[in-house]
Amino acid sequence: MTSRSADPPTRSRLTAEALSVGHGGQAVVQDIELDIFEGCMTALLGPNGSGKSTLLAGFARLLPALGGSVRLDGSDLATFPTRHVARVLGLLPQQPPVPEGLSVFDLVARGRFPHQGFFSQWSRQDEAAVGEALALAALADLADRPVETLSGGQRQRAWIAMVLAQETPLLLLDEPTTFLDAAHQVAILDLLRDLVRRHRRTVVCVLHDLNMALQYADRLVFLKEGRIRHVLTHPSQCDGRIIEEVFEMPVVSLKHPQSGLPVFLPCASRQPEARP
Amino acid sequence: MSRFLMPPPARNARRLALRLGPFSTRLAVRGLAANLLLASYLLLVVWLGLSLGSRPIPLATILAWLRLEQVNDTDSIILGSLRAPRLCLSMLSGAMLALSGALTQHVTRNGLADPGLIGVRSAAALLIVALILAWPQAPLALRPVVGLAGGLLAGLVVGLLARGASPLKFVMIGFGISWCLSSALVILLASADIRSLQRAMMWLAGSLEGADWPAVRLALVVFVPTAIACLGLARQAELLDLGAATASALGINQTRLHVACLAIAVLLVATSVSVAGGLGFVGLVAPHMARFLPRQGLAGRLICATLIGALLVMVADLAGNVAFAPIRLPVGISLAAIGAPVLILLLWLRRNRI
Repeated sequence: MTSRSADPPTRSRLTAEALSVGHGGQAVVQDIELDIFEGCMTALLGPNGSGKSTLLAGFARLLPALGGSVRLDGSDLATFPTRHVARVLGLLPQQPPVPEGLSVFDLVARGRFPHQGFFSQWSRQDEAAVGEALALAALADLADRPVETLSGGQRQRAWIAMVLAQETPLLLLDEPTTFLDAAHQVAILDLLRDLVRRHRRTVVCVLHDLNMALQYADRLVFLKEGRIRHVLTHPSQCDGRIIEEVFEMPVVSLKHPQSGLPVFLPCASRQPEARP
Repeated sequence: MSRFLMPPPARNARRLALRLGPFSTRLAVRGLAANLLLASYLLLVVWLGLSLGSRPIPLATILAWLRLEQVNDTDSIILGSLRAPRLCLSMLSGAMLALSGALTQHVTRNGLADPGLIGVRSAAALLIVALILAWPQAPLALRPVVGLAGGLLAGLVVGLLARGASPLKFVMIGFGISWCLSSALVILLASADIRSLQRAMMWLAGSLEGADWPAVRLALVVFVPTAIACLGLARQAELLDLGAATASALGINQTRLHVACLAIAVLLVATSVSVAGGLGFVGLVAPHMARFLPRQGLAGRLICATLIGALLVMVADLAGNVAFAPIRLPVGISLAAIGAPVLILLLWLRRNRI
């Protein structure tokens, strides 16, 4: 199914050093040591409330570091000017709002804000970047449609296109596939993998669907109760023991017949009844 | 050098890219057309406002006067010291109220927000009424200064109390302050003697009787720079539609943006109250009326609401002058008489969409 890039990860773009992040002075994630390597798709996994989204918010500078620091290319993220960060880090928040009366094109065009100024409000580069983002997200035909008339999957693609138009080398996505059916999840994850493989973007995403994450991500980070439990540099390293420890549920492990990567299913809660 | 006008891309025909050297922008064609139409209405009302009255003045005379040519003394005095300053002041006060209302409604994400409702107008009114009652001979020029001080003070108090609170809390705190100030105003009026009370009540109803060029100058000095600042802030403020997280990720400092927008809104309302008294409604209604016109960017919507606000007050003042001539209604009253049915009509038309 996939041929993973054989070359080792080049360099770390984002680094968490003894990082604690939380709301209102209360740390939700603590003592995080993590490297986000360039040209990789890193998945953050863990049960509800494990601090995945909070960690992502810390990487995106939405929440300040309560302790430790996030380093962007070696320098403290907190010291960069806002505009610089907006040109390097793109963010898709969890369940973004549906702006009223905004067309898909206009939504995507707003991703160009960090590259625009009071005088240069719609340059050729802006137009080209929006066109490319729409094409990548397969939205060219829907560009004039109001966002609120789109289906859930199309809407999510429109938001991803907005982040793509920002043309940031790093993309942080918070549950981009939640609430989508399997086909739409695959479409979004194919798009993200395409970005990593063909466009050398670096993607970090919080994912809920463990098996999808195993098929698509290059690196897996498991969080539980605000701390990192396991960092796997390849999905094949994942086994039932890790899943049972992190998610606290008994699983059976299988191999995906095509990719050869592990797949986990919850154990049947009851023994099947013997047929008479 | 790029071509001046780019042909609109086929896929996005409702917007027009405009490029000239380093300058580039994108215009919503239909929204622009709507704004130009409103601007032409504005010119029409300016003509009506200058020519209608107890002594009608023909267009030719008005044009001659505008070109600074010799016209007869009576017409010159009527135009120069009565109708023109009054018209300018009604236009500016309406524009200021509408712009401030549109900006506040957008930034607080609340269609009912209006700086008039969060205590700014009450505070300005309270101080000006206190001035009228305590010192009836005070020069008219003192009123804007006092009103501005009161309005800014109220805005500051609400801002500090609601610091970091949600938009809803911000508006609720504003309501509370506003009611306190209103009751203080009533106490003040109840304890006043009857003659100064009458003057205060006339002013409170919203009146352009005292319109003169110094008031117009003050309004212009506040309006022009703030309007330009609004157009600059609009590009950032429209990203607030995408949610707080996305706006931050796109490089917006939201605290700074909120403070700047609300400070501008307070300044505009306080100035308007100082020069034209308590005009209700405009700040609330004009942005809602603007929503009936084609969609455009926030800058376009702000311009649209500003034009509508100016038109509303000008038409209301004109109607108040002409309808029951020779009796002139204070503009606040004719505005309420026109504005309230219009608001209800609009809400009824939009009943399925709210």
